[in-house]
Amino acid sequence: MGKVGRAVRPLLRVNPAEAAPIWRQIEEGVRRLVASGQLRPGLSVPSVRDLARDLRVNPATVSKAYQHLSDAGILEVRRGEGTFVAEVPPAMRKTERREALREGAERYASLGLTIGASRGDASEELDRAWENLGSGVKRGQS
Amino acid sequence: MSGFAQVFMLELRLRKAVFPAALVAGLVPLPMAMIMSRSFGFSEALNAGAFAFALIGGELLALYLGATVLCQDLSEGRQGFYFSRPLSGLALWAGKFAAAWAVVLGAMLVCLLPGTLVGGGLANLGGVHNPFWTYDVGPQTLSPLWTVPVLVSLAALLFMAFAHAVSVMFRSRSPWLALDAVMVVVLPALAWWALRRVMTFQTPFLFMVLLVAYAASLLVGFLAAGAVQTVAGRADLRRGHRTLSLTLWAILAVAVLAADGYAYWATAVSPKDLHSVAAIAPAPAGPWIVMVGDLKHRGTYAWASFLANTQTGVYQSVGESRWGGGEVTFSPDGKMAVACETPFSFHSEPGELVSYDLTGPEKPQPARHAISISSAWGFRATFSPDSSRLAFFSDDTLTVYDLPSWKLVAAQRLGSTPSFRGPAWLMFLDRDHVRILKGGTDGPKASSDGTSILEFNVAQKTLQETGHVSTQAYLLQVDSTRTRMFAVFQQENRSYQLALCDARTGVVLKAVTEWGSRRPAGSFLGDGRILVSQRGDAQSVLRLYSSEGELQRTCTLTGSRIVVVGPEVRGGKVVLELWERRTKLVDAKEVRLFDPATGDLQVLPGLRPSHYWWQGTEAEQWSHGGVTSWVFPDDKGKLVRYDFETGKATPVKF
Amino acid sequence: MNADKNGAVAAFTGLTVRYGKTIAVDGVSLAVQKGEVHALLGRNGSGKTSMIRCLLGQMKACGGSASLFDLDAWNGRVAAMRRLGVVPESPDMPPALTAAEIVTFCSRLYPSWDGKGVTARLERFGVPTKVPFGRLSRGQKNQLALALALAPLPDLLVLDDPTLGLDAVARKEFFEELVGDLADRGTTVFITTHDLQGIEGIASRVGILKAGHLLLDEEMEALKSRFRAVRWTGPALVPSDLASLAALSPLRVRRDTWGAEVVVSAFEESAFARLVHDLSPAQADASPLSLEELFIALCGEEGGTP
Repeated sequence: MGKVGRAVRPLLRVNPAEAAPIWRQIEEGVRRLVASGQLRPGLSVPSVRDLARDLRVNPATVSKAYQHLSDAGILEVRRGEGTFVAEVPPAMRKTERREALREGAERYASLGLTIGASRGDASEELDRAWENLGSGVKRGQS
Repeated sequence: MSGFAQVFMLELRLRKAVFPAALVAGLVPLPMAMIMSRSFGFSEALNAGAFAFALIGGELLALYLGATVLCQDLSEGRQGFYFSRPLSGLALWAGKFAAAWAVVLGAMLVCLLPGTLVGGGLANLGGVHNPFWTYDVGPQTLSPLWTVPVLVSLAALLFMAFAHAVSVMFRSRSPWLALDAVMVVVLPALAWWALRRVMTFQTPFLFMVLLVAYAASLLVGFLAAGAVQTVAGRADLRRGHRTLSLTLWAILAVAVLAADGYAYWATAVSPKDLHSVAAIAPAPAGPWIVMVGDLKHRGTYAWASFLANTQTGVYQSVGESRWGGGEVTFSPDGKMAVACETPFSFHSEPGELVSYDLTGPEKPQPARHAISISSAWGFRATFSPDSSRLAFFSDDTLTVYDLPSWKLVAAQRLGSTPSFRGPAWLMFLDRDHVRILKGGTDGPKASSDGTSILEFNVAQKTLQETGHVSTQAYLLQVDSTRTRMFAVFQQENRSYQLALCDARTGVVLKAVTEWGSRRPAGSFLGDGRILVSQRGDAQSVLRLYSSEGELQRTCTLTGSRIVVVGPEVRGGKVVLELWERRTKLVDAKEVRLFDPATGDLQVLPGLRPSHYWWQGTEAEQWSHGGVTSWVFPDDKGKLVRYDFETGKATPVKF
Repeated sequence: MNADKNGAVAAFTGLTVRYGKTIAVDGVSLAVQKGEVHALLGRNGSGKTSMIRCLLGQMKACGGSASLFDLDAWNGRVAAMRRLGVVPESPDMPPALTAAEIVTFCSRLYPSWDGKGVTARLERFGVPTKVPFGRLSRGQKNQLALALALAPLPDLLVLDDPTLGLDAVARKEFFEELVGDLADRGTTVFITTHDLQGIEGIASRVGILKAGHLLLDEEMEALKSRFRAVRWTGPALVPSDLASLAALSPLRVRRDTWGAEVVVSAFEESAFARLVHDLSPAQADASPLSLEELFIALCGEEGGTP
């Protein structure tokens, strides 16, 4: 498993009390790590068993998350070797990207509305976050 | 099978500390025996000590293991360990119990080991060879030595099963304890009823059968209850108690009720249950008799005796007979009978006097008068000629009661207890005077002590010796007037003579027979004449003498015959009952009619003797004269009434 | 209530258990499907232990039935136990026996047995095999129990409050071990527990028992998604606010100095957004509940029915 596996543990936290299902939290966590460059392409990720043990969640849940991630092309499963971060993922199809963005946007909007934020503030925050994360990706890729 | 074996091994492993402890316990008798060797001998003391230790320790261990082997886990909530595995309840119970049993038996053997190695073995222990319970049980299929280990092992198993049941009952604290409490009182009472019934009918074999049956049912009941409780109660203690109690009491109740039923059936006999009538003792007057015979299907409850009315067929069971009916005494008017009830056939048991009223139409019930008879064996009672008084011996005390009030009139000590060999013959001369022929001590030939003739005045309560005869009392017979008797004298060279004597003083009046090697047996007829029979090897002789002792007639019979004189028939003939001494052939038992006028000995076909042969030697007197019919057993052992005038035999029905 | 018996690994059908006059379990129906990790939650005295006892064929139900692998739990106990692993609430092995002896005993009772796995587990947790069971620590006892339960490669694992009395570290190790087995073999699990935090991530389906009745029995995700704690800060909540919340099925209202909290059981994002938009000027916020908070909301004194 090596250093990379150990590095994943503190970076990936799951809170069962959160609204999002656990598998989604795992999925998003991995996406974030990949996006921010902390998980480089070609490096191995923990097996379903090990990650489930570490997080103390149902392996089926981890399996589901990994399934989604591999479907999305972020992880790839190599028979007999393990699971790895895919090489720079090919460009998502436009419709898929749209779909993912829409989902994320709805959640963000709902959050903003319920806390009574203004649209302008919400957009400002969005831009800032994009900046921070994006630079991280660039750093990771270099 | 695998489950059972696994549980068995596991339990053995859990209890392995028992064996070293047993070995240590086995060492203890050694110093004890050394201390006691001064008085008992080292080897004996060691064997006895080792056996006692092993036995007591083993049974205590059985109790402890029985209470804990399943119950401890159950009450501490650890049964889940077994029931969460593919292990059947039955395998669990069987494995645990078998292991506990093996531990107990093994511990006992280990405990015996040091003693045996040093002392030489248990086989040396005296009582082990012939344990008392193997007497009288019948053909022994097991050698007596084996009964001890088998019984000890079964006892251990019973103790274990019992301890387990008790443990469940008390640990569960469930309301089913109420049922247990009730049954613990009710069932033993019912069980005792059967034993008591069998005891009053004097059948020790049946008593043992019941005890064995009870022991077996206890063992089966407790084992089954424990097994069912484990299988159906599982880890639930209260439910387990319920199934245990229901199973246990159901089995025991069935066993006890069956025992009660069997005891009732075995003892509620009627003359119909007789295989054959063996002996009859008729009342001096009236239709009542005592009849004795072999019972069908009752094991060794043989010789059942009944008081029976030959005219109406009413009967009453009076227990087991050892004297062929002679235990029951009728009053001369035939209206009452007395007997001594003894609970068991052990010699020295005290008995109780009971009386039967024979006047009513219904079955006579034993009436009790709180009269205890010590040394009831050989009990004899006698009535006064007018049936108004009763006299008998209890130990060495002559007691006289007034009838029908049962008021004690006199109690006179004689100074020595009459024994069987030298009985005290008792007869009323009249209401106020009792004659006692008091024999000497045992001794087959020496008649130096002879027989004292005593007379007791009931009104004045005085006892005086009126005479003496230098022969034993059982060789005397007194006539119906009580004035004369004949005596058989014997000499050292085994020769006998029959002589006529004065009944009061014992003075010899006339020698009747010559001195001979065969002992004569005599009987008075109603008019005073004497019939004497002498048994030879190939033939026997019958002689009739006048009341003065003059020989009137001689008849011979082939074979070695015992002759018992029966009643006199109207017209002068006399019934004779003949037994062949050596063989048991039915043909040799005959009833004949003797005609004194002609000397004719006519055989009465189809009839068998009824008077038990040795009763004829007692001071019982047939005072019947002029009977027209008499009751006999026929060839098949059934009771018939024979009419002498028509020669017809009609069966007597009950 | 999912009570589909077909294909269920374990099922309760209208189970009723009575102790004298008290009804401990009142007509409960529940099914455990293959591959599930099915948790049964309830307060002490809610009837969980009785249900487990009936399932393990140690107690006979007064009404209804419990079944294992389509066999009646009471009559078919021995056959069912061949495919079952049980971790009991408190350690119930004979205290005088060593772990090795216990393992040998159990190994011969089952048709299949993973001896190597047992040895490996015991080694991993430092459970000494030659020490009498009574002298082991609580954690070691539980690990031994789990090892014994997993050794026959069971089709169903039944755990009755397996982490009772364990410290935080032992609890964590226990659940890790359980999860490891889940990953390796995908064993179906039926577990009753008070450790709601521990089970939260692992259970795929949750049933909640209250006073002998089954309040709910749902997939964990679905359960989590429909419960929310709606928090009001600001002026006190007026009845009309509550009335408008009715669509979200409020369960319980709690007021404190800062405002009020309403636990709802039929939460929906859009419905809530509309609601909040209509209300003024209060600040409203809906946050998800942990399993523990959810349980307390349902089974606490002020709890209601969903």
